[in-house]
Amino acid sequence: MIFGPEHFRLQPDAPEVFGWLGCGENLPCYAAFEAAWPEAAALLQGDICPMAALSEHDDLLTVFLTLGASPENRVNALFHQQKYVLASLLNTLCDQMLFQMNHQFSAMLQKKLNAEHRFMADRLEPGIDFSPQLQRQRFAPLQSAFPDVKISSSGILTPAKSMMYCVTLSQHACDQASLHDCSKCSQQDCIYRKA
Amino acid sequence: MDGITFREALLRGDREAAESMLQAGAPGQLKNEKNALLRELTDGHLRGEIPFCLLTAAAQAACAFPLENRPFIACCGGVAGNTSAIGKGYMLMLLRAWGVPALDLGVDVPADVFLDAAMAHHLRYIICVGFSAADADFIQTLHRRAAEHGIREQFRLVLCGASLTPETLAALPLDYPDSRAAAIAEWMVDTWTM
Repeated sequence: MIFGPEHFRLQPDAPEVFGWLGCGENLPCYAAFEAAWPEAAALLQGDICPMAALSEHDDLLTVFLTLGASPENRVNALFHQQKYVLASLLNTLCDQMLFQMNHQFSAMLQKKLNAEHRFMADRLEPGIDFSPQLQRQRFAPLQSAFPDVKISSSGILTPAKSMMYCVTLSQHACDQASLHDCSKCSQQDCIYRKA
Repeated sequence: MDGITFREALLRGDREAAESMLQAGAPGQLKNEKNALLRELTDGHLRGEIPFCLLTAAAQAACAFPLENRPFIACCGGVAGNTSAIGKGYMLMLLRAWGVPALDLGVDVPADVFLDAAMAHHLRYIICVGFSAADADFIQTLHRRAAEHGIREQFRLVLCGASLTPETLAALPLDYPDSRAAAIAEWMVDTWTM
């Protein structure tokens, strides 16, 4: 099942992005980041193409979300041009969009499943809960819909501004665990740890 | 830009103002000021007291200093399996700010390509930019191949950005057991004259 851009209402959220970057109004760099915000938001709107996919096999759901390849290419080009503030802002903004997309998709999925008297149990993350090999197997049914998506030997998705996970199902209304659980990851200094 | 110091121009990420002040003279003194500020921001960031956005802004303004015509001393690339260039972008940004001449190898780079670059350019540092736990195997492979070629002592090896615990990093054959880009850049500047 494929979900196109019409299923998502993504809104750039300046306070959240500045919060992740740690860029507060008391800092001298704030003016540079604030001045770059309109350009970053405009670039993003022109670049992203949010798409999602859902497949089910043996009571296990596979979810794939992507913003497409353009935002990442844009961020890389900005780094090459030494426009580091804009590159950093756009990169973080893309991540905020992807997280927002994830929240919206989780809500949609929850509604759909609950109507079928099914419930999400655990969220399983590639690289933490299952291997890159299994990740590729789980993605295989979706490959024809996303021919340009690649999963590397170490489980990295291309385009980078993408997300994939699996959800186990239950017949009982368990605690919903459909969002990423940062406590499973070893990267202690990740800026999104408390996102 | 009236009324602001060189330090303020860097902190604001104002490359144009920094360029104007450089053209006005005393580039040696301003370079010292720039490096002192980068060190202050890096140390503060590593202690958790200064957000990375300040380093980003300072790095942008530091590009006012032209790259000196020096041979490369380092190469930087995403390890095989890491297809995203964003982590590498941050690493190269900091090296550019410090004025470290580094060769960009791209992403998804096999171990032999890192070694070929090190041999061809007599590089002193190899910076592998990673992302996942699988990067530990890559480092072991690169280290072993370098030893087989008899060139392991020629360069220092670091892993940037990997999602590894400090204990795992410390157990790898790395020359600096910290995967944070800011820490690596500062360490390279301190050890450049090895």
